[in-house]
Amino acid sequence: MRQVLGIAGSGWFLLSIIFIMGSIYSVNSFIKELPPQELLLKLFDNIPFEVSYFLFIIGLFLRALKHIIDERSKKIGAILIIIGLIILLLSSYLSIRTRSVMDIKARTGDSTAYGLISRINSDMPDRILIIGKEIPKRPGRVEVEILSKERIERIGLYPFSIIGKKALFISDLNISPSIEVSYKEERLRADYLSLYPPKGETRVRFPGGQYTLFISLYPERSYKKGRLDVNEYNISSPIYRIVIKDGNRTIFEGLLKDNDQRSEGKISVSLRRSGEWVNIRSVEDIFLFPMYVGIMVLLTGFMIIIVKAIRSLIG
Amino acid sequence: MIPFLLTFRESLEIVLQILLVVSILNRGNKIYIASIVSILAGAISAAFYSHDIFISKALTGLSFLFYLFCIILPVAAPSETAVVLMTPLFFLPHSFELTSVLINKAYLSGRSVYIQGLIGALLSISVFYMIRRYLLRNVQLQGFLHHREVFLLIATFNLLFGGNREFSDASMIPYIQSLLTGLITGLIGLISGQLLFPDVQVFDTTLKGLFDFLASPRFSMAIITILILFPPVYLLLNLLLSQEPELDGFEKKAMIRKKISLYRGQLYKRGIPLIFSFASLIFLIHGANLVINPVYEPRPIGLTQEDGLLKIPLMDSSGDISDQKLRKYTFLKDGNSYRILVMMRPDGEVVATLDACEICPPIGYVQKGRYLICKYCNTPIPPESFGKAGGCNPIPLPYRVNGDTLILNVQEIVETSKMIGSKFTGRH
Repeated sequence: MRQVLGIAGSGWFLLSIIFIMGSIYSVNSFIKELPPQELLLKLFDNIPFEVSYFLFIIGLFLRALKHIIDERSKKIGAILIIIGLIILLLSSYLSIRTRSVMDIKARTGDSTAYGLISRINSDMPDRILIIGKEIPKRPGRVEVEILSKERIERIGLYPFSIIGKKALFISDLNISPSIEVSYKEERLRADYLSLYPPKGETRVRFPGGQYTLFISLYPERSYKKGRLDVNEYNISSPIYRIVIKDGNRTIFEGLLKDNDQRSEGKISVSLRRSGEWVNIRSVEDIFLFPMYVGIMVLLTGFMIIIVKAIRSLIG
Repeated sequence: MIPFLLTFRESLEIVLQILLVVSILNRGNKIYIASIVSILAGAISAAFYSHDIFISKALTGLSFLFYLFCIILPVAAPSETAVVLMTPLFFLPHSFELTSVLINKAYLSGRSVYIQGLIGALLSISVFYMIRRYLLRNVQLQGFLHHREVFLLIATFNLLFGGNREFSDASMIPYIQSLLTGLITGLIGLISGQLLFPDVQVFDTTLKGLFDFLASPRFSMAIITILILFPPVYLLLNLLLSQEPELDGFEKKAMIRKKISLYRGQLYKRGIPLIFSFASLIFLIHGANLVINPVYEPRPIGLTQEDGLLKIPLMDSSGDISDQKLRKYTFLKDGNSYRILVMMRPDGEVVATLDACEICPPIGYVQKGRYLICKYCNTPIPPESFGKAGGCNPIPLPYRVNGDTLILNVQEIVETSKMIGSKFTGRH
């Protein structure tokens, strides 16, 4: 028994497992750049990674056991770090396997599964000045008020809000109009586009695939400052530049504001409901809190070790 | 490089490392077998997979971990057996890369490359045999080096000579640093996704600053520095704090002197390779830091006066001034040389200054990242304050911009330059 504890709970065993997991992670992450969540799922579909992951947890558990059996009660910090790590790793694994995520895009006045979006409070600037190519970015917050059964729920960026069994937070914020285009027999409806910050054109293909709509924010004022171009955009009442192309041929080009409607020949473009929209992400995951608990235990362990080290230095 | 010389050089590197390990540890046969298996495995893998982009990328990822492992190993290596087991790890990626290079050369120049490669390898083996047979026969390296120092030396050796990256002429540390930055960025993405940290493109949100800092090249460079310097520092401290010899019980002073002398000799013998590794690694890190944060100092462009004026084109062969890179100009007046800096501030304003400040001796400035750095006192000057007088800021010059030309008055420059180092020397 002690031999098993000695080998599986040894630093060498854990280091070797980290090396194996690190190798699999490296191979998977360097081969193709995947979004983090996809990479995570891919890793846990890899049997050697999954086996190594559990061997690592078992190794940690045996190491904690070894500390406790050896009556090293002085190592409470190290034991807490190991326990925190075990909770974090186990709950992360279970979270990945069981989590369900749903995104809802909405504007003020929209009705969602959680109620009516009564207001979006955000630090989105009314105007933005872009000097040269540098796009200013600053800290900000956004909060959505949802009216549900005569109660007002508030959802922000972080920390997430809990409604029922779900954790809700705003995972995206942007501005866009709701666009409707009709051309010959083709109809296009586009909404919830990401047009901020104004750095290029957003492209939307018509359902038939032949025509393409290009939309971007258009500056209210443009001038030179020194040798740089300065563009001033009105975000609270934006002007949109809309171009529609048939292949490389431009069939419509115009500057439109909210509630504008324009017809040219067989083409008709209308804009409405221009303004902010949010993406509310709802996550159903019973292992989310255990993950946070694991982190808290881990940090407590670190704190104890640091405090003890400082005390021994002073003492 | 000629395939023969390339193979000879690389094989020699490998056999010298094997020789070092074999000389220290009396486990010759095991190390030979493990090394040969590892070298053959690398070569055979390359023969089958050198053109496979999947394997090539996987090797990049693995070599990153491998070199980190190499650096940590000297401290972690608990016993001679572990060293015997770990030694072959050094040779597999190296052998893979060497074989891949030979295969590529053979593809371009024909199969004679393999014969040259074979001759090079055989020659290095014969060098190995001769050193082992004639040079090291009577030398006892065991008393000179401990197994941990051996590993540290091998890791330093691999880092110094580029390990398996030398074929691409890439420096090892910036390479590891860039891979580590990628790894940290990926991990941050994973963790923030799991813990529901938002990533709204419009704002900088909670923890954004911390994540940006953790994912910055500066942070990964700091980690690499700690990882690289920890083993030699740890081993050196271990050596210095090692127990002094027991002198009680020795009555004769000669015996005590002998004991102390032996102890000191041991300290020197084991300390020298550690100090060598430490110094080499400091040198490597400094080099890597320069690669990551290069210092930009343009060569001053000579100007000639026209009616007491200097005309500087803002768009010329060196590019457009809006690239926010520093430009230096120089001109002669009454036998004195004057240096001028011209740069565009982030707000779009083109500014001209002297290449000197009121405080320091007039050595000038260089550009590092977006900052100007005073070469004398190393003060970083933010580009936003370029053209503002005071402190260690370059002394601003009166100028005007006419279209794409910046115009300076020579007499005004001469007058302004009297302020150079005035606060330092008390001269006005």
